Amino acid sequence: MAELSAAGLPDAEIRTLTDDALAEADDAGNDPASLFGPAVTFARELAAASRGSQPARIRDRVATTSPAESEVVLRLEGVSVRRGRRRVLDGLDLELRRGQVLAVVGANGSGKTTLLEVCAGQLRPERGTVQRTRSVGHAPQQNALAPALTVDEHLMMFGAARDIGPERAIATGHHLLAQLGWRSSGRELVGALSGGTQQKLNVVLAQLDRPDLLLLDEPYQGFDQNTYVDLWELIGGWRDAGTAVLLVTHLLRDLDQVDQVLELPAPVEVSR
Amino acid sequence: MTRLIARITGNELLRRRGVLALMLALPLLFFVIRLDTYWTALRMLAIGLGWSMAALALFTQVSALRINGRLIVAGASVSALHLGRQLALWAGGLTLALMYFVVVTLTIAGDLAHLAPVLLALCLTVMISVPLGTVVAAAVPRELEGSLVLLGVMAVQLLVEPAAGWTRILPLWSTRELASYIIGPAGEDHLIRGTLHGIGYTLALSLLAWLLTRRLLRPAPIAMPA
Repeated sequence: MAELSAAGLPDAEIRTLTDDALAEADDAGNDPASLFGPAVTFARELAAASRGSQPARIRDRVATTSPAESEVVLRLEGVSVRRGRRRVLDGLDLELRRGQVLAVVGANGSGKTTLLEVCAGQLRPERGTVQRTRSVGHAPQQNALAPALTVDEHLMMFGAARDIGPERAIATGHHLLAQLGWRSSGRELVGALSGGTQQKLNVVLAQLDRPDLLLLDEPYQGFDQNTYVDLWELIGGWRDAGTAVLLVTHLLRDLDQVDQVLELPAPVEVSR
Repeated sequence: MTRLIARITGNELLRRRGVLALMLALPLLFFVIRLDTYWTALRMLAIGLGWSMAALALFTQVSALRINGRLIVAGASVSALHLGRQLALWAGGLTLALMYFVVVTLTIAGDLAHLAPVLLALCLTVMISVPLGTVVAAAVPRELEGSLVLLGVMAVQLLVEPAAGWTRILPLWSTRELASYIIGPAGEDHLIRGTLHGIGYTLALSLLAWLLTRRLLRPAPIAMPA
């Protein structure tokens, strides 16, 4: 029930879902755990299925940040995107201000990564408008690095893209990597690094010049527990410094640390 | 930014030793297996070099698509990224052309009517093949499909008789025209036509590669929040 509650489902709906599940196990003459599997996993599946029929919605979690007068860094109005025959975003409205952290959740295929691509400008929406600050960092989920390049070559390239000199880019990058618990020599080939270490570099490249808006697609993938905690400490620091963070996540425990949660519904099949 | 991308792309290519070995071996293999007929060996060497460079450009561009997209979001210019990678590929290809010119000089130079234009033919082949591979990468940004397109172009290039008028639309027509002059007894008009065709194709394909890459990588226009 705690997982369902953390997923933002109303108490009445949680009671109905758990009663139905218990009744189904009772009818089948089985223990709920053997019928449905681990409770936490099942709760997530239930929460995702429950959200599937609902429109995208934003819930405020914390009111400690995001004063209404702070600068808007991202605004989406009526944004719709189709992927083949599926409409993954449908008339989405969203506003993010400096110092806010927004978590995007939803079932697989609900359009979380698509939303980040739209915000980054890598994908044009079918309908709707996107307004965004120019100062943005984007850490995609996959294949975002060049395996045959070194750590420092990545830092120099991303520094140059932001008009930062190579020395400063390398120094800043190494400092941020150290904050995530990794001291790099800079000469390591990225393809030889572990998945978690590559992910640290991935996040650091997005944050190299303290952008106004940070787009993170499941940034903790491959992280150990300590690095996960370090990342949230960094995100907290960036938020305090005025950076807005839009974060795709599957971890319900992340939701306690964000200001808002955007729940995306399951995609809808559309006729051609 | 352009110089940095060129330098880093060069480093990246040098670290792919397996790819480099294959790139060196393919034109050489084409050359060696037809060494008994030096005129065919020269054409095969040039076309093999063209195929290698076009394929290398294709793989370089396709494998860089994701990171290029990220760099553009971060503020990099599409043109700087494109030009940087083109320059690195051209520099590597021209080095190869020079090496193969030495090989030709050491093996079949005595049989050729003109030796110096061999270097011209190999360099022009490189200059054309790099944007050719980039055009294919931008039009078909998938490695397998792109490779098959390039294979088709090169196979046609190799099989057709360059005297036929329509073959001038093929990108490496200049290579075969120059080869005719090098082998002899074709006159200087072959040299001039081949050179002009090569320069024209280099410019046209470079422009097309830039336009297609811009179309592929250009970010969606996003206004600042009001």
